[in-house]
Amino acid sequence: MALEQIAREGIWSNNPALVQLLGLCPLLAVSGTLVNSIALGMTTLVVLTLSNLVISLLRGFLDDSTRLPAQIMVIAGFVTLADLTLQTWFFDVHERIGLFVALIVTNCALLARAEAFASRNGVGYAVFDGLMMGTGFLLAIVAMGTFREVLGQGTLFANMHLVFGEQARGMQVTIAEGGWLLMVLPPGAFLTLGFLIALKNRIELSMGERG
Amino acid sequence: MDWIRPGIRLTLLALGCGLLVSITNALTRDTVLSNRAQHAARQLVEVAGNTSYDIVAIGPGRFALMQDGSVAGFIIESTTNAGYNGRISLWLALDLNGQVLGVRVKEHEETPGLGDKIELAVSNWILSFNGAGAATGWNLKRDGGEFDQFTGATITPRAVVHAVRDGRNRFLTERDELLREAQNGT
Repeated sequence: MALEQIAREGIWSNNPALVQLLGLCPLLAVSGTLVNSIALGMTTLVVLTLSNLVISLLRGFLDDSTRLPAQIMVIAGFVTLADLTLQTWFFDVHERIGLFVALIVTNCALLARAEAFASRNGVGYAVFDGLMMGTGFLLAIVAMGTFREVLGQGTLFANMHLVFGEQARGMQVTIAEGGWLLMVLPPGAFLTLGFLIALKNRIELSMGERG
Repeated sequence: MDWIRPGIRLTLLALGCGLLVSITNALTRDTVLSNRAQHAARQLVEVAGNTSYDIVAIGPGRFALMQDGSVAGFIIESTTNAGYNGRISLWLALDLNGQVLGVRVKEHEETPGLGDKIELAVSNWILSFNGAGAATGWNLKRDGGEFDQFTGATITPRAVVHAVRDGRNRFLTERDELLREAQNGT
């Protein structure tokens, strides 16, 4: 199976958020601002890649009865490590999204990739799949974060210093004074997701027509 | 009996995961505690609003603000469980008359993007407590007081306003005891 196919599936045709509709809890809850989206998206990508790596390594070690509990344990282990890592090196980010880092364990995309791919393929492919699926999730949550921050708060790049350090402090672009409250709240999140899925499908349709 | 081998393997894996997490925790614990302490210390300096104060610990969650060898004010902790997602704890800096020098959020679990506007990193709202005192209307504007609510969130700011009010009232009753603790400590 070609690496190109894994990449295409992870980022586009089988995007965990926009196509498989997995991980909607963090996707909807943390995508209110771009900086939060980047933080959670990156953390999810790292955990997904590492858990795919380990689960692939454990392929021969587990059988049908132990596979699922083992996968959950590995994912939970890496999520805990991610949480500790944030508290150690990105304390201010943790102050803002720490609540949802622990919830990465409930992001079904991780268990889905573990069960559907990592437990059946070699380490190299599993790691690459984790990277691509993670990137697909990251792109989806970043798209949502951009949309919701601009429409909901009227700003873009607010508080980027939380992830990128002091030099990113002045990056905020203020487009309007305040915004459309709905976009900050859960209904706005659902609406944005629906719109993004529709947009993706529309693009795919017109690409298919041309090709 | 064919559950024994998988059972042992799963147990081994569990031990392995547990070990990895414990080791990482042990390695990072000091840094995390130090981060928390630094965060708290930075907050204390911020909440006092004036870097010329010497901040002296006089008890758990209690600090005296010393200026030129005498007590100029105090920092106390105030907590509430009336937050939208539970406990909010605050640092409250007061001068000897009970006037608020500053408030900062120490810990909270409010919703990112909505309730987290109580953090200074997100919005200036917490600065609206500076200078508040006996004559202040200790409620949200919609409840007849002076403090703004957030668009989309009223429970969070209401909890904080009341926590500051109650912390200040508690301070006024405990002030003499605090003064005594401060004199003994210095």
